[in-house]
Amino acid sequence: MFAARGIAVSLSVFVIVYCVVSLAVCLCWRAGQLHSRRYPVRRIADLLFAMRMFPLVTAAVITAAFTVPSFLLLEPRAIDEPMGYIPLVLGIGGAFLGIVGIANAGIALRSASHHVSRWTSAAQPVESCGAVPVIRISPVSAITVPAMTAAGILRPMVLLSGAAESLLTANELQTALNHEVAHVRRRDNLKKLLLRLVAFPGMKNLEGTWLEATEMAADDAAVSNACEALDLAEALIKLSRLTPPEPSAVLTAALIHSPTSVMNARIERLIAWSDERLVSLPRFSPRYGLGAALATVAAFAMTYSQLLARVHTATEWLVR
Amino acid sequence: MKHVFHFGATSPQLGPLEERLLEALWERGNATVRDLVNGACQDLAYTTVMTTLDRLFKKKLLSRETDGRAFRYAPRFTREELYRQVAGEAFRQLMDASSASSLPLSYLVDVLTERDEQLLNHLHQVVEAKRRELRGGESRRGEAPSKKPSQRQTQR
Repeated sequence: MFAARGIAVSLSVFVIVYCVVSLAVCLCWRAGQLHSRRYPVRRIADLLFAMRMFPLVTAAVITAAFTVPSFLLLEPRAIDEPMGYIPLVLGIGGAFLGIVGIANAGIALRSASHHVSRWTSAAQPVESCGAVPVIRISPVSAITVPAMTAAGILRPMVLLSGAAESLLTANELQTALNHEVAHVRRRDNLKKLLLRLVAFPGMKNLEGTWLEATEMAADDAAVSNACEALDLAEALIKLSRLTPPEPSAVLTAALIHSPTSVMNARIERLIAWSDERLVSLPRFSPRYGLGAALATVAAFAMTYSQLLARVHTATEWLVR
Repeated sequence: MKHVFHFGATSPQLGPLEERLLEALWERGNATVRDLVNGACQDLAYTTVMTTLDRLFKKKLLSRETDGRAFRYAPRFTREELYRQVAGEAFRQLMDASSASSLPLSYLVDVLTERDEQLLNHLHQVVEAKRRELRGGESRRGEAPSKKPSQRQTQR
């Protein structure tokens, strides 16, 4: 009973924190959307992903660092306290949330693996581009293949269709491959998998904007001057004619994707490429991060027992 | 958004003057008739602007609140929201117009494909123009050092 009560309380706190923080992120996002001209697009993509993951991380940290220890240390084991409906319902809600997230990610993984195995059934390795293997794929028995896509999470690779290879010039092909390699280096497919774990209604808009930002960040990483930007723009135009933009298969990062408005925005952005985008972002010294982490740990160490007592009071109120 | 618009069955088409005032309000956020007459619509009479804004309010495209003795008008929709609503309504009308529901869709796909092709052609031309511009800039830069010695010679 003690263990069951502990699990129910922990899951309840997790659900409450997760939902409240998700709602706050949703509202903040709607209130003040980021404008891409003000910040480098790579930073925007990172910030959006951090915002999207913030509810899960916060809920997990609060549950693991405060709720569970406060229950184990301060809850008397001898008393067989009855459990109210609220923690029971919230606990079931928390378990359901976890199961849905895991199932969602599992389905996405299976679907991605199914697509990739179909595309690569008659594939040939071509070469490596920046230590990432490039595989040439061809349509087999009416299966349409993407022009170019980054696939795989643990062993990422770039899939290149024979049609795209023959259509593009050497420079265009190189910049397009660089774009896909940038997706691999930024681990965008892994991030997409993590997003599947943290489903929450009302986050589609934020996730859509993050996807656009990742594509533009990969464009920026793929080119280093105006000529290369024009090569990539030309590659996008040629491949858009070859295959009409359609949604990417799950957990892949296709070079040509829908919606068309995003593709056009990317092409226009590349045409208007300027050297200012090459300016490296100011890097903060790791000492700052270490200092902040140490200060946080020290603050928590000094107030931890009081915090645990307060969290326990709150969970007691929840249980009753 | 030229001359498309039917907002529901009861609303009439949006005229050029209404479109212009709506654009002015999107630019400003909100305004009284006086603000518009003194600003973006100086060529229009006060009563014309007042009547047109009232018409837009009755079409439920504007909201208004009293500001002293006048009304302050603000758009109820953003430009994007209105486009979406207008496009959705137009598509619904198109779909309702034919008994064979797949036919209007195929027309739509044809038009979109044509537009996409045109847009891609346009973007291709822009890329080519930009390339020429870059090559021109590079060749000018290439010529620049060769001029320097002759400049030095003339200075001597």
